[in-house]
Amino acid sequence: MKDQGFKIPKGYFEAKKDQLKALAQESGPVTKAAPKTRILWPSLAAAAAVLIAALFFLPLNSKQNSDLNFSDLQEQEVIDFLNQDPYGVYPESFIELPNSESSEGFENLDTKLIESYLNEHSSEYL
Amino acid sequence: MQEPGTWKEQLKKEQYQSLFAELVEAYTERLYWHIRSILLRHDWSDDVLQECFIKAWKALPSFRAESAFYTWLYRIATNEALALLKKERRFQLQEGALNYHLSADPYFDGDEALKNLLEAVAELPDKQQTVFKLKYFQNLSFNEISEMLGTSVGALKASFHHAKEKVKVQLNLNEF
Repeated sequence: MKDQGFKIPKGYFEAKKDQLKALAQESGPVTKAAPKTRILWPSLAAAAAVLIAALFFLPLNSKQNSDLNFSDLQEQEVIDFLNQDPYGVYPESFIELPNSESSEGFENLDTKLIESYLNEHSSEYL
Repeated sequence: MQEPGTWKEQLKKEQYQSLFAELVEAYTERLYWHIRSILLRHDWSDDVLQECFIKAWKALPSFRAESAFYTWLYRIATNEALALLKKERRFQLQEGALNYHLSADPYFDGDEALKNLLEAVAELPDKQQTVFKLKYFQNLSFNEISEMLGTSVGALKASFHHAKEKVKVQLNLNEF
């Protein structure tokens, strides 16, 4: 090492070495840290247990759903379902009923005229 | 740098106290001079040396001994010294007093040329400064420095070259 012109106080290194060794003794024994795998073990075991439980229960639930039959339903449940009106729309509301004037006209049609019309055209469909 | 094989045995047997005492005996002086060459000041070097050994003591059980003990200790010392330098620079920038004058240091007795050289090196970026000091003052090989700093030999050679050029320019400027 080249001289860099630095000086140190007299007896510095001897005193420093003693001080450093004393520091290590005062701070107590150091111990080897537990390996990460040992620290992780409980959490890994818990995660595995949750996974196994999930695998065990999930297929059971799906089986129950697939085995459901129409015959298993209670009659009242079917009736309630059919009576439900989730959209608030009634088919009748879209059917335009004839007003009273037109129905009167229909009633006044000549029945003879209708019969003769039918007789004339019925042969077309035979 | 050869190290006693018994040190690794002591590490395996978890005989940390005796191993640490041997490391202190073997490397206190060398580490001090290494730190001092980075920091220049004795008081800072003393603090960093102590911090370095405290860290080494705490980390000793987790040291895998894949590298030599001295490489490991030098790495801790370098990082600690550079961290302190960075902190002090920030503080000095705030205070408006960036330059450290060796002539005012009671623990420096180098001549004018050495003082100029050290002050010129102190102006370099941290990495170049460290490489220059390890190579020029401590005469370490690039391979050893590479192990210590975790930098490739090629990058170190480039850093050293740039550092040398800048120091040359700086010294010429100082002369005029």
